[in-house]
Amino acid sequence: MLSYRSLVAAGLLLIAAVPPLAWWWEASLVRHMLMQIPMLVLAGFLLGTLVAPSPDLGVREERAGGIAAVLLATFCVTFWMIPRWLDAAVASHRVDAIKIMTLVLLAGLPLAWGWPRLGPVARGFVWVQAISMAIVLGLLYLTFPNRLCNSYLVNEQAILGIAMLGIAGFLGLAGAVPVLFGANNGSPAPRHPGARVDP
Amino acid sequence: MVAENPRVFTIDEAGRRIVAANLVVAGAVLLAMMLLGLTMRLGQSGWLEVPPARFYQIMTVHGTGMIGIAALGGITVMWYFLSQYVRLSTHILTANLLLFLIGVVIILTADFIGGFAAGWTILFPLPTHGAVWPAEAAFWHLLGLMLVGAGLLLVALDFGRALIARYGSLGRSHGWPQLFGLSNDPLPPPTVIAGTMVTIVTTLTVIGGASIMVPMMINALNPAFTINPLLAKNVIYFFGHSLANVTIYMAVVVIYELLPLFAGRPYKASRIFVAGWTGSTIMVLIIFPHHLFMDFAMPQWASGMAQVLSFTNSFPAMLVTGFGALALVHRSGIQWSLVSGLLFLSLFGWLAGIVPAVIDATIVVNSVMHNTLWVPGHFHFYMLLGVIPMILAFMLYLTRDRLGRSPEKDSDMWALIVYLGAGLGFVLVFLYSGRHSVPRRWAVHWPEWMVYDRFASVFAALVILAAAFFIVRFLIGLRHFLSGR
Amino acid sequence: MKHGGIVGIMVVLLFGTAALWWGSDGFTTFTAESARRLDVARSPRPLPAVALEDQRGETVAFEDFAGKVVLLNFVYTRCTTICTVLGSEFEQLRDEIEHSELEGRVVLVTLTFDPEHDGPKQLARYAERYGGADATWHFVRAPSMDDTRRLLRAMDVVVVADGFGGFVHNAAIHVIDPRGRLVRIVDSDAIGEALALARELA
Ligand code: HEM
Ligand SMILES: [Cu+2]
Repeated sequence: MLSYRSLVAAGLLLIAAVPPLAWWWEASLVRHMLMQIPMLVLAGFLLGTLVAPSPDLGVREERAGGIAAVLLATFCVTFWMIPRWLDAAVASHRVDAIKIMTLVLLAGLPLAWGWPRLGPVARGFVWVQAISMAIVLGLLYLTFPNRLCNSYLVNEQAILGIAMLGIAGFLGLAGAVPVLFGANNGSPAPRHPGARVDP
Repeated sequence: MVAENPRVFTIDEAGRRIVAANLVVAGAVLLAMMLLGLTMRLGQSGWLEVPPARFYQIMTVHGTGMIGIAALGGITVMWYFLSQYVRLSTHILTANLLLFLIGVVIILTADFIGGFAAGWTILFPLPTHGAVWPAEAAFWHLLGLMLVGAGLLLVALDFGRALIARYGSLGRSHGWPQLFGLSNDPLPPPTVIAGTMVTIVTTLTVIGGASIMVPMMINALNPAFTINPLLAKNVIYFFGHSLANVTIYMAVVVIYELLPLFAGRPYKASRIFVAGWTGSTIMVLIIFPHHLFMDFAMPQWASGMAQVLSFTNSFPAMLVTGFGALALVHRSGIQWSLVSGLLFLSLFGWLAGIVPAVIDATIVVNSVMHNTLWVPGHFHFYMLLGVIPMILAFMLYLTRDRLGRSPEKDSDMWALIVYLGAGLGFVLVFLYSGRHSVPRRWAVHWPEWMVYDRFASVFAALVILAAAFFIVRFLIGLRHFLSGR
Repeated sequence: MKHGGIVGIMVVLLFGTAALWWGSDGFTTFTAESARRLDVARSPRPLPAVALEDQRGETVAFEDFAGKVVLLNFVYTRCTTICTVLGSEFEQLRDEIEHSELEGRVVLVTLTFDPEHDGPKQLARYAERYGGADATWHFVRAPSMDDTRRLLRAMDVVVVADGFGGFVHNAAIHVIDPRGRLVRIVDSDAIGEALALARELA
């Protein structure tokens, strides 16, 4: 049966990963980093939501497994953020195929499995790390005087840097607004103060 | 609703154990770092042979370690009292301690064996281009700092989770609906308001710290990967000032919670109180993006203002705390004890420490005195006489003075007087030397400065004796606390 | 599987760090440019045998320089930026070489990656800007575009259109040993380093 999500995932894969179009995304640094890669991860994520069983949060093992899965996705995305590998994906079709496969299977898919299994503290941790990584990359691309990628021009690098800082700002606001101004009414005080909980 | 200030604090066994472990580590590291501080002063006074390279390693370990235990002790104080209002996790507090310890081991190795000595402020490009130490040492020192920061972040996120679960949002636990007249509900307790501020500021601090330390770590391994030094300086200032300030925001709740026990009245939050803390929160929120996304074409005055703001963001919170505490004890027939004495000492340290800070932050003076001993004078004032007494008061309260009624011995009062007198003497020597333009961070001093250094050494030794006395008292009483009497 | 999750975290940490370590040669090499330099220094590369043509229109080949050290750079003659800098840097190099014992043992080669535009005439004109070609300094192209691509690929030189009709390209000095292998790549302004290497190899 074809669900709405699987159609979207297939569509994303078609747009992002199939050659003539894939090369078009890769021809520009901004399109490559901020459009193609997110689309691939999102496609994997959508596919993942189709196959991942719903979490049983009572089980501690599930939580640790969730952390492992999100960590895997983080490593995978980080790897492809290294300018050298971005370049390599442009220069070699084989590397590019590996990039596409790993981003779908080792980043998107595990994210779909892991994210629902994370507790609020772990989610906050991932969120905060994502903000500082976006700032790090943004400042790097914005201020680096030379070319980081052989396949791309310096002015694109600066655009990417600004976009990255924008993403950091967006992630910050998107996290801060509900946290500061969220409209839930809270719950009564704990009956036994000083007691432990598992977040 | 629980009472404004519970008279009896409860904590389960797992919580007791991890709180005790945190405090034991904090107390031990505090003494060790104080001894390192004394070593520096002895070296400058010519009483002890400290080679320059060693001096800077010691200074780096001392500064980093002190800020580290101020944060560890402070977050433990905050955790203990906040857990009376919201449900916190002992696992997370344990994870923090583990990360702290691993970080400390890495930092000690990087500094004393690796030779890293760029100071606690890690001002770029010195750490990675110091040439005196291998770049790997800088890498490991920074990694150690990152681990300590990750631990603090976890606890802050747990605070945030618990506050949101209980109050609905951080805005509400900060008392904003009441502040802006949108709600007539009773205000959250002072500890909850301060806890909210700590959650926000710690998170921002760690984001700032990671944003500059990750590039510096890469730069250490690969010099071709450059960093804009002006930008680095801004972010490091933000990180350093915020981290140093947040330790006092954490520890200060000991005053809100314990002073009422001695005064017999509750410490109630008021709208002014909320406004004061909100003022501090907002100042941090403003300087955060300012330092981080620093505009390169920024006019000079804007950069100067951010600098001053990051010095002064604690003032609103400090003023409302000071006035609140004075109102609380005014004609209350307060009971004097070691703990209440330490609480007052800490209030004095925080309030009086403002004077040198304001003078330093005034830009004109800043350019004259900023690289003198005036600067360590100002931050030792509120650290040694503000944050540390708060943490000591908490330790002693837990282990021997829980109801504020245990009989005081003469020795207790003497220790208190020595700590105050010698502590004050120690920071005043820093300030006085600063007035006379003695530079900071000099391993070897000219003979005419050595008089100051010798006075400072004597004062430092006395402070250490008093602190050791308190910590031994704490250790002796630990069994009682752990047994949960 | 009581500790499955924790073990999972450890495994991911281990493999993740290992992958990043491998992918950045121990966290030292983050850009393709430094990666190619590191790789060349570790394992020298033979150059493909391609027919070249110099500024006089005469056929040459890298084999002609066998037994000599070749310092090679890539340009296109319409370039108004980096290639002019590269040119004056090679001019300095020639000065140093011709005033030392290296004369005759080290040659300079400037190769255009735009053979469709840069024929012998354009090359000669470019050479004139730096005092002209001589026995030390040769200006060449690989007339066939395919050969040019093979050459660029063998050295991992990347040329991208800059959107204004020109190109952006790696600026570096490629050091080729007397056996005709690419052995090192150094910064284009690292004249001293290039000479020291040449002295060592010659
Ligand atoms: C007996 C107590 C102490 C002594 C003898 C002492 C001594 C010193 C000395 C001599 C310096 C070097 C100053 C300079 O030349 O710039 C220093 C720096 C410093 N101290 Fe202390 N100190 C003591 C307590 C504390 C406490 C309680 C804290 C904080 C909780 C602290 C935090 C720092 C920091 C952050 C630095 C700056 C390090 C750097 O510049 O990298 N110290 N201390
Ligand atoms: Cu050019």
